[in-house]
Amino acid sequence: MVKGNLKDFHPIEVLQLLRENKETGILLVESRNLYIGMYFVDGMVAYAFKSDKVSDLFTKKFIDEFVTAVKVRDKERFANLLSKVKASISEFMKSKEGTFSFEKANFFIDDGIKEYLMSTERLIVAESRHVDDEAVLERKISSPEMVFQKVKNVKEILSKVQLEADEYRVLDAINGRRTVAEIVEFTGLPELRVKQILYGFLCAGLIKRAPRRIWLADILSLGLIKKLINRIRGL
Amino acid sequence: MKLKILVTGPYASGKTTFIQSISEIDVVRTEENVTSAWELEEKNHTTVAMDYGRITIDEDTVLYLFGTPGQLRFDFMWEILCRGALGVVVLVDSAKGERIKEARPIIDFFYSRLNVPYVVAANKQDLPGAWPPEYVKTVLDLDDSVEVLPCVATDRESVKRVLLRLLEHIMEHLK
Ligand SMILES: Nc1nc2c(ncn2[C@@H]2O[C@H](COP(=O)(O)OP(=O)(O)O)[C@@H](O)[C@H]2O)c(=O)[nH]1
Ligand SMILES: [Mg+2]
Repeated sequence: MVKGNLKDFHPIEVLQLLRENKETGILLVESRNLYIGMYFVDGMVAYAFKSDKVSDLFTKKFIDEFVTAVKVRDKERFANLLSKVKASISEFMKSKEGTFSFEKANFFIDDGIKEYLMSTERLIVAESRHVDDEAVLERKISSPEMVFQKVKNVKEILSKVQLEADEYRVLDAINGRRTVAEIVEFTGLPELRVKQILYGFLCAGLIKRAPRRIWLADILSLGLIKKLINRIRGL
Repeated sequence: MKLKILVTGPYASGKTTFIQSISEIDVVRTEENVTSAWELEEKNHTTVAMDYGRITIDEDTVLYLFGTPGQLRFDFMWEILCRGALGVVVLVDSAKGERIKEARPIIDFFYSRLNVPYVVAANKQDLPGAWPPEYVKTVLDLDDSVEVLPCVATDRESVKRVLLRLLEHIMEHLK
């Protein structure tokens, strides 16, 4: 189980952890007197609920409700549940204090239900538009010299999110060479907005840091490295 | 021949422990006069503590492990320290999730200015609630070419594994 504090991790960063690592399990958030539970399947949000009673967290009734609504294809029931789910998620996204913990679990979810999973990428990009605390943004966009590149499956992720015009401008400027400072200049957008967009893109997995170029010390040779490896193995 | 590997990371991430676990000598703590870099600093606040350990490779080759704090006063110190280094191990205390990000300034500097290979060691994996290496990788937004290894710096075998992975990465670049 992994634990943390919302003072140190914005909810978007918590979502990034679970999305990036394609986690399946339960995220529990304790914020003031409210408990929020979110179920994740392969890094996507399957379900979320909130309650002021901690005992509710130990019942299966919440997820069963959801699975049943999907199975019986009861649109009204499903829509009703979905609005509860969204309200719980938005409560989580607003949480600035409290603790979170994530525990892996093996839910059995059949493929029919997988269609109903919510895109974490979409949630992250949408929520990132509200992050204007510079200290939060700089946790991820930590240097003006950072260089990003689009991920290989960027098209697939783009199909899950809805970008605004500004966001497309920043995406177009990302080419594996431009630094954050250069992207600000190139797009002509305010620096804070660019950081916000990059923060969202990074957490949503649209972009990654570009790898570094490696230069080795002159003295190095294959023979020398092999000698070191053999010696350390034998220690 | 004298070779060196740098061991860096935030305060209390386990640098001294890591070096001690593998060094054939007691870790030597040096507070001054390490390289010419320190002389460039004003004499009255020159305490950048550096530890070092030693592994004799053969009669004429010695490998030094230099432990150096993550927060250096000036960026040029990194350049001087890394000059001639084979590679770098960046340790993070993964038992304290909120402290992982303290390794960020070092990592950012590597990305923008330094080109020696490095690995990240998610240290203190023996402690309950330690964040897994994959999470450390996400928190630091490392690219896929950077390996994050589980580590217990008090365990010599674990330290060996980290150093061997670093050397193997270096070897790949030589091929
Ligand atoms: N449980 C555990 N403790 C460790 C480990 N590595 C270091 N420590 C402890 O963490 C503290 C800081 O370690 P130290 O090597 O002095 O950190 P430095 O400031 O980076 O040199 C010490 O109390 C060590 O005993 C580890 O892998 N597991
Ligand atoms: Mg130390």
